[in-house]
Amino acid sequence: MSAFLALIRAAFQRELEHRSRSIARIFGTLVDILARISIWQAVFAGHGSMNGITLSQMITYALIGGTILSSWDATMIVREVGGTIRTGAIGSTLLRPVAYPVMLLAEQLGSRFFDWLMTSLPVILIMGLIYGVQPPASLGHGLLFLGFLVVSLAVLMLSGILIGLFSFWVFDAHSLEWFMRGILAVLSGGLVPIWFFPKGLAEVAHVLPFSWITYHPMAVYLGERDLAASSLTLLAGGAWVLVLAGAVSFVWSRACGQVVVQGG
Amino acid sequence: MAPIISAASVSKTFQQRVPQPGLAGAVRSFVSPVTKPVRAVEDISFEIAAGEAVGYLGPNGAGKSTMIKMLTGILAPSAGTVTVLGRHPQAERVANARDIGVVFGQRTQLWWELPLFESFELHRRMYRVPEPVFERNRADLTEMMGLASFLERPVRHLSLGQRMRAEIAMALMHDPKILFLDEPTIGLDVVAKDVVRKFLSRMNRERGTTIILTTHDLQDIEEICPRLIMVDEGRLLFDGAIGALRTRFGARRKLVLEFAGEPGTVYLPGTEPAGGEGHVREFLLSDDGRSLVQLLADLQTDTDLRDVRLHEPGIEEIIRTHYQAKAAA
Amino acid sequence: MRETLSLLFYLMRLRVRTRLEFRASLVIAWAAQAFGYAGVFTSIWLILTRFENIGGWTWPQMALLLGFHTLGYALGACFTLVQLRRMEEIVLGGEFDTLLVRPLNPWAYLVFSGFNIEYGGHILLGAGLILWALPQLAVHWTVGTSLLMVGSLLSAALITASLITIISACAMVLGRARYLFGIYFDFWELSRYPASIFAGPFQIALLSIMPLGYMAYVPVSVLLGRTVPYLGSAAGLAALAAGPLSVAAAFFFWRFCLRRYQGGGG
Repeated sequence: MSAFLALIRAAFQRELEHRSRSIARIFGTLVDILARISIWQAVFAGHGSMNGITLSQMITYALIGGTILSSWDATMIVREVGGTIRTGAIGSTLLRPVAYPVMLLAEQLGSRFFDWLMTSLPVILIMGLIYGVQPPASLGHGLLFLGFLVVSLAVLMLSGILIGLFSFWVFDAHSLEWFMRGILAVLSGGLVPIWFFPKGLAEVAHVLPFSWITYHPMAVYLGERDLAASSLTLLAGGAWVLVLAGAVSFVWSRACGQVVVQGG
Repeated sequence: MAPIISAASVSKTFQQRVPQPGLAGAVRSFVSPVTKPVRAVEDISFEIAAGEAVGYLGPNGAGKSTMIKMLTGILAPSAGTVTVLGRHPQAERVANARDIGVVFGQRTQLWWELPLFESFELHRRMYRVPEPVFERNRADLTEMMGLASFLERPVRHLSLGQRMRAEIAMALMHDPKILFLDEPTIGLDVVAKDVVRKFLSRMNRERGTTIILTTHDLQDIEEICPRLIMVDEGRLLFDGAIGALRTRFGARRKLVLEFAGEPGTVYLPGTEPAGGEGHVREFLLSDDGRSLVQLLADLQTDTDLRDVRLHEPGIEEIIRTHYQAKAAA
Repeated sequence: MRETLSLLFYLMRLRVRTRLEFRASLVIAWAAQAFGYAGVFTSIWLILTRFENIGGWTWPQMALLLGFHTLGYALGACFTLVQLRRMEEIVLGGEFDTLLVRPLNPWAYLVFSGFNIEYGGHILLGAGLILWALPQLAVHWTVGTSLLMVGSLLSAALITASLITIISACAMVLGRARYLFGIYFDFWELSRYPASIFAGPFQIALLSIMPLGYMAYVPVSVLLGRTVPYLGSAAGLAALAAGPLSVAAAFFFWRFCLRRYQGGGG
C-alpha cells in the first residue's frame, strides 16, 4: 500500500513541474465548460424546465460533470497502455514488484488528484461565481456523492486500463482510444444526462457501468433520487467496479502470458 | 586557384532565449523575448580550394556545427561573409543545396519505412539528376559502398554502419561539388569507420570532390584530410597540415616500452624520456620522420622488451596541452 | 515549377504507399475516428430530440453544420496536422536542419511528405452528414450558393491548414508548440456549435483572431439564410475570404519565424 501511495505522490509531483501545461489546461477546461453552459442556456431559453430539470441544475451538472467527473482522462490511459505495449516497455514492468495495472492505476490517480486540485477546483470556483453552482441536495446526498466519486474514478480507470490492455491482441491503441471516446461521450452522460435520452437508449445506458462515471453521481448530487434509491445505485456501481477489476486482472494475466511468449 | 569556400571574419551570435516561466511567460516572451547573446563563432576566416579535404575539428560546443550550418545555408552569419561556390548560402539556399551534399552523422535523411532504393529515387527527383548520370552514380556508389545486398531492405532494418554508408552514397548521387559531413563516423564500429574513411578519401582523390568534415576523431582527419582547421570556444586555433599541429602545440606522440625486468636507465636516441617506473619506460617522440622500427633499433638496453605501445595524443589532449602552454606563458 | 509539383506529388505517393502497407489498421482507424466523432454528435442529437433546437438551429441544420465542420477540418488537417504537430520534436531533434539542406521548401516537404490518409473516417462522416441534411433543408440553390458551398469548404480547409502552420511555426522561435495546439483544439471544439449561442467576446474571437467561426458556422448560416451577427450581408464573402486571408497570414508568419530560426539539435 505504501508503494501505491508513493507512486501517487510521484505522479502528483511530476505534474507540478509543468506549470504552463496546467495553465493551458485550466484555460481549456474553462472554454469547454463555457461551451456546455452556453448550450444549456440556449436550449432552455424556450423552456422553463425539461423533464423536471431546470437550467440552474444543468449548469451545476455541466460544471461538476465536466470537471471532477469528466471522462476525458480515460482515453489518456488507453494511449499510455498502448504506448507501453508498442515500445516493448511492458516487458520491464514485469520485473517490478507491483503489477503493471496497479502501478498504472496509482500513476493515473496521482495525475487525476492533481487535476482536481489544480484544474477542476479553480474552474468550478471561477464559473460558479459567474453562473452559480448548486450545493448537494442534502447532507445525505452529499455524503453519498463522495462514495459515488470513488466508484466513478474506479470505473473510469478500470475500463480505460481494460480497453488499453486489448491492444495486446487487436489493432493499435490509437484506434481503441477513439472507440472509447465515442462510447464514453454518450454512455457516461458526460455531456447529456441520461434523463434526456429516448426511453430505450436510456434503459441500456442506465445499467452499463459507464453511466457511473458522470451520470449517476450527478443525479444523486442534484437530489433526483431519494437516499434509499441512491444507496442501491451506489451498491450496483460497487458491483460493477468488482466486475471490472476482475476483468482487468484476468486480461492482465492472459497478457502476461503473451509477453512471455513474445519475449517482451 | 580561386577558393570555392571562403569565410571572411565570420561571427555568429545566438540570441539565447531566457525562458520565462508559465504559459503567460511563454506568450510574453514570444512577443518581446528576453534574450542574452551567446557567441558560437567568433571572427573566423579561412579559404578552401576546390579538391581539398579539410577536417574541421574541435571539442563539443566549439562552434563546429554552427560553421557547417552557415556553410550549408541553414543559418546566416551575424557578421562577416561566407561564400560557397560564389554564393551566399543562406540567401541562395536552394541553389546552394543543389551543388552540395550534406551528411549528418546523427540524423538520417533516408525514408525510414521504405526500401533504400526508394530514398535514392526520391533524391534523384529532388535534386533533378538526369537519368543517365543517376544510373551511373547509383551503380558506382552501390558497388563502392557495398550497398547491393540491402538496397531492397527498408531503412529501419539497416544497421547503423549500413545506414551511414547509404547516407553518404545518397549525398553523392547528384555529383555535388562539395561534400559536408557532420560527424560521419560517430557511433560506427571499427570496420564501418574504416570503410567510410577509405571511401571518402578515394572520392576526394579520384573525383576531386571537396570534402569538409567535422569530427571528434583525429583518425578521421589523418586518413581523409591533409588539412586541418581547429576551433575552440568559437575561435580559430589552428589552420594547416595535420603534422604541423603536433609541433605547433607541442603535443607529441608517446612511446611506452614494457620490459621483461627492471631495465635501469634506458636511453633512446632522438626521444625525450617522459618517466615511467618498474618495468615501464615512456618517451616523447619528435616528428622527425623516423619509423618506429628505426627508433627501436637504437634502443640501448640489455633487458628484453615485452611490449611496445604508441600513444597518440587525442584532440582533447592537444587542446589541453595548448591551454597549459598558454597558461604557463 | 512543373518539376516541383511532380516532386511534391511523388512525396505524397510515397507516404500513401507507406501507410497502405497496413490496410487493415487503416480501415480500423477510419472506423474508430468516425465512431469517436459520432459519439459526440450523438450527444448533440440527443439534446435536439428533447429541446427541438439549439439557439434556433434544428437537427438537420445542426447536422449540416457538423458535417461541414468535420469535412472542412479533415481536408485541411490531412495535409498538416500529424506532421506539423510534431514540429517541436522536428526542430529540437535537428530534423529541421536536414530539411534546410535540401533544394526544396521545408514547409512544402513536410506538408506533402506527411500527407495523411487517416482522415477517411472524418471525410465519410462529414460528407455523409451533409448529404443527409441537405435534402431536408430549404437551401435556395443557385450558381452563387453552389459556389459558396464549395468555396467555403475549401476556405475551411485553408483555415485549418493555416492555423496549424502558424502554431507549428512557433516551434522555430519558441522551441515548443504543443500547448498551443491544445488551445487551438479547445476553440476548434467551440466552433462546431452555432457561434451565436456564445457570449459576445467569444463570437468576436471566433470571427477574428481565431477565425474558426468561418469553418462552418458562417458559411452554413449563409446557406440557410440566417443572419450572422457582426457580419450581416458581408457574411458570404467573409466566409470565402477567410481561407485565403489566413493563408496569407500563415505564409508571412512562417517566413517571420524561419528568419528567426537559430538551428536545432546542438
